[in-house]
Amino acid sequence: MSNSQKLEYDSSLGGRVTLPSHITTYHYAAGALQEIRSLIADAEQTTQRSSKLIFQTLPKHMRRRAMSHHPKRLPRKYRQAHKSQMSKGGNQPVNGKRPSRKYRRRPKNLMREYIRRQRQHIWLETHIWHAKRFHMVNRWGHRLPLASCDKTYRACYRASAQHCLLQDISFYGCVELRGSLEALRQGFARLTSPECGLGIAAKTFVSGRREGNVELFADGQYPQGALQRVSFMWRPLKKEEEQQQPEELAERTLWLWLHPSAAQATIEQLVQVFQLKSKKQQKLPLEEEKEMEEEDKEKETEEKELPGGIKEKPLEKPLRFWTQTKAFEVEPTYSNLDETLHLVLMQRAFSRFRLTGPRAQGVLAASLRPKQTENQDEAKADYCQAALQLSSPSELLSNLVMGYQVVDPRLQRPKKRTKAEIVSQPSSSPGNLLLNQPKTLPESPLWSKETRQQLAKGIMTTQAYEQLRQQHAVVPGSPCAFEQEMQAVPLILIQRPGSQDSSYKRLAYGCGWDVIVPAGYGMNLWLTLTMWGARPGGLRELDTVAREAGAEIHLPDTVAGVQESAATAEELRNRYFRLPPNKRTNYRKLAIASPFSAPWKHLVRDWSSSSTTSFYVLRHRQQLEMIDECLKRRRPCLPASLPEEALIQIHLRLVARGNVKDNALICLPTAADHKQRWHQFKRNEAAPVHVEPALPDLNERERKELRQSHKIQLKRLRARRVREKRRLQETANRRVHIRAANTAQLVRSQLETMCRLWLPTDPAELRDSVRRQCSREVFGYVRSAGFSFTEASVCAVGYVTAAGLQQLLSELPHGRGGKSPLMCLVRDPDSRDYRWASFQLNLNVASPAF
Amino acid sequence: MMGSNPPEHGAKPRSNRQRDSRPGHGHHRVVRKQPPRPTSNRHNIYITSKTDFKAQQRRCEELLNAGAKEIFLHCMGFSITRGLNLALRLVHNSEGALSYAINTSTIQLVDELHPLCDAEDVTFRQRNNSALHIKVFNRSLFDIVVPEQSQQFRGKAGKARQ
Repeated sequence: MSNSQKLEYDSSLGGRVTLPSHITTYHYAAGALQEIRSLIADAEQTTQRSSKLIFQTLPKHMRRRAMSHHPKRLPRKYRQAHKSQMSKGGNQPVNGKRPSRKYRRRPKNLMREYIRRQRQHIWLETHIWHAKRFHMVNRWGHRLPLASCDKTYRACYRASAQHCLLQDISFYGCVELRGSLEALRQGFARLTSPECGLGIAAKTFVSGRREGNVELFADGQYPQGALQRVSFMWRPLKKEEEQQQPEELAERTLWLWLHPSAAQATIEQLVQVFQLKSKKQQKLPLEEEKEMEEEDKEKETEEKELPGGIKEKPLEKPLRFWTQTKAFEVEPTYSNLDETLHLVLMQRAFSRFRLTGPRAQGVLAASLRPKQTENQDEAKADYCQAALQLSSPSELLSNLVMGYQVVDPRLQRPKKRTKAEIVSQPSSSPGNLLLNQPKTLPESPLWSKETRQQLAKGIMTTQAYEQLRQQHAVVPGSPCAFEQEMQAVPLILIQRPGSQDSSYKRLAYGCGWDVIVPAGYGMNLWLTLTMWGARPGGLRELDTVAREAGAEIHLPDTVAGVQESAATAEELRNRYFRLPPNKRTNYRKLAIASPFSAPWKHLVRDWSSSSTTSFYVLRHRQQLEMIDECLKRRRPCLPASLPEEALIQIHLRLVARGNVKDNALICLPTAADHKQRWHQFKRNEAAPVHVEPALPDLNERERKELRQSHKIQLKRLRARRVREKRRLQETANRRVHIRAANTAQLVRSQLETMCRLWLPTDPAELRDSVRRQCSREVFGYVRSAGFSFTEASVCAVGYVTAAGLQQLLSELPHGRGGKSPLMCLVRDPDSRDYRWASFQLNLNVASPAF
Repeated sequence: MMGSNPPEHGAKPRSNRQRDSRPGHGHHRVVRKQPPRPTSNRHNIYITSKTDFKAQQRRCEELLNAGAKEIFLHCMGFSITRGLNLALRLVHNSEGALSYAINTSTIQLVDELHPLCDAEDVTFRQRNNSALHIKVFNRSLFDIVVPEQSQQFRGKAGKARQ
């Protein structure tokens, strides 16, 4: 056997000389250092040498005629350098024409181009469909559809309220956690708080029957350090498993759906809390040699694993280790030391589609047909079908999870785009469906990795499908025999209940389904859903649906919220300075402290007794309920335990005329304002209740002078250069050119001072600069605002401080309007008019309705 | 009674049960579900206490003027008075062309009781609510059927517009 093996050089000649099994790191590092040094020296020398062009450095016998024009006459390794040299010198670029469209559109080249373009920003499965119809934006490392190129703003609202709005939210990444229930509960106890609502291991969620929502915070930092809101679902236990082990010890699987903006931070927190280690690089025990040959083999493999890398350490003991490094992991995996807890990042394993609106029922019922397979139980499929025939998704158990095995969605398409009608013949009453679900309902084969891999292998490509249809379908449109053989697609449907508080927003607004589709089937299902009349929407619709529901997707203290407001502030500021000076709003005259973003930190600082520099959104449900009770009863005594850094989310609604934009001020009305209100109410006047007196802009003169002096200085510098040029020209016999200006630094600093003089002073500098910025005290800011179709008036979501609310309550006039909602003043950042707005508290901050 | 604003101003009467769900009283939060709707087309109108009365009235009138022989107003619980008001108003305004018929029924509703602590599961509460189904119909003796415009005529009109 040993003869058949290829022996080491020295073992065949010089006896048994084996390669050393280890090398000391400092020897290795010293060698590497020497190499790097010589490389750098070499590179430096060549750059110094290269006053010549590349083709001039070639030896005589390798030179060709017209070499500078035809890079292909150069040896291949010089071509790239030659091209870059030639294009720099003002010559016409060597890499001439763009290849023809025909060449570019060849499938192979097109695919290559697509892959290249996906490297920077991840594409969703439905990307190309969206890119043809939607405005695309780069956000959170993805290329996402923002809004349709058609005018569909109102149509999308109508779809979400009465029909079916369809959105691709596959950018939510899925993370799988496997471990015992007890370990997971203890870990998540550090990241969440029971004050926000139910925990991750609450009994209603653990069975897998319902999907849950939880707010994550950085380890032990609650209430500060909010990361994001995460929706999660547990893998339901099978019957055999339930009997085998006690509940606490059995290995459970949990899926978290993370928003990409905070996904990295969340995963880092999870890794830290559960003490996980990446499996990308791991130390494995080396099998101890039994025979000489085996050892040789192992060595070969080692050499392959670590080309020039650190080799394993020899130990006195027989146990030895080697380091395995995976160059690329499809699903990055982390696990803890004793291998009881695993975290798997399932990248692009699923698509997730969101259907909103009561007609989502009809659309889903039309596009999903249960597939009869031997291992699927009848009761489950029947339940799913019956559930989809109800008139609204919200009649079912809220956040219900259904596993559903359906035929390939391509087979369920109508010939033309049609509205799916609701079949109003429910086989059992909605109450019955709500109360009794089959036990196996949430189970889905999608949970197992093997099934997912098999599914991915068994997908029939659209091209193959169309070809088969061409061969088999005698009559166009008729079903074919081969279609029976196509594999079943397991889906997971998750109900979203919509609004559940009829006093806050009308019942069931925003209800719908989330559909989880295995990778590869996304486009197929997407097309079927749109063909059945679902209206596709983009990111804009996520925001509008949330605003209509009176809430926000990203709270201002979460990672995504902070990022978003910083980005919009930057964008607004740039836009402001792109305008000509006479078109810019003079915020100093309007007495606005922070025109482009809401200064939460400074607002909280001005309303608290100590100088805190942090803020958070109040999510404590009981405290919110207590505040709400005070507001309803008009008791000016908020609970004393309220922290000063807390912001309270409110939903504002303009009473009469006027509009509100983002970053509007929420102000306290004075007694005079209340009087004025009744005065106007009697006379049916719609004028603003108070107009901010215009302040003088003290900087105006300074700006003018600065501008003038800057101009003069630039002129003077130029004159100096011209004089210098003339003087040189007199003595020179060649033509002298004027010296370059080199005033970039000067101009930049001028711009900076000018910007500073235009904008109001930074609120960080002065205490009370936010609270008392204008003639009414500011106690909050609006985050998102717009016309709300559900309320038929301008509505906004804003945040106020608790102390401000307390003051509002204590200053209320007595006797009048006992039952009417509480009122405050609202002013746009670019307006002087104060308008009345009624507001109410949002209790469901941590578990919103959409 | 026939004023444009319905007399049922103010908040809905609160039941004692709901008060139980306030903090410190119960271990759960009552979540009401959307009541089931038997049919949903344009001739079935579901009366809510939030929708503007005048808007609802105009909607019904438009439906009836467009040739609908009958429309159904469904109302439940607190909005029953509102539905009755609407039906009466429609009949009164029609100067004898419309009439109404009323059916009563009981609707079974299921509320979800969401737990407030981790150790409990969702439970349910069943209750009944009375509902009213009002049929408002055209009782004119001569049932005039508006004839469909003929194809030819429509074609000509189209041309004339161009």
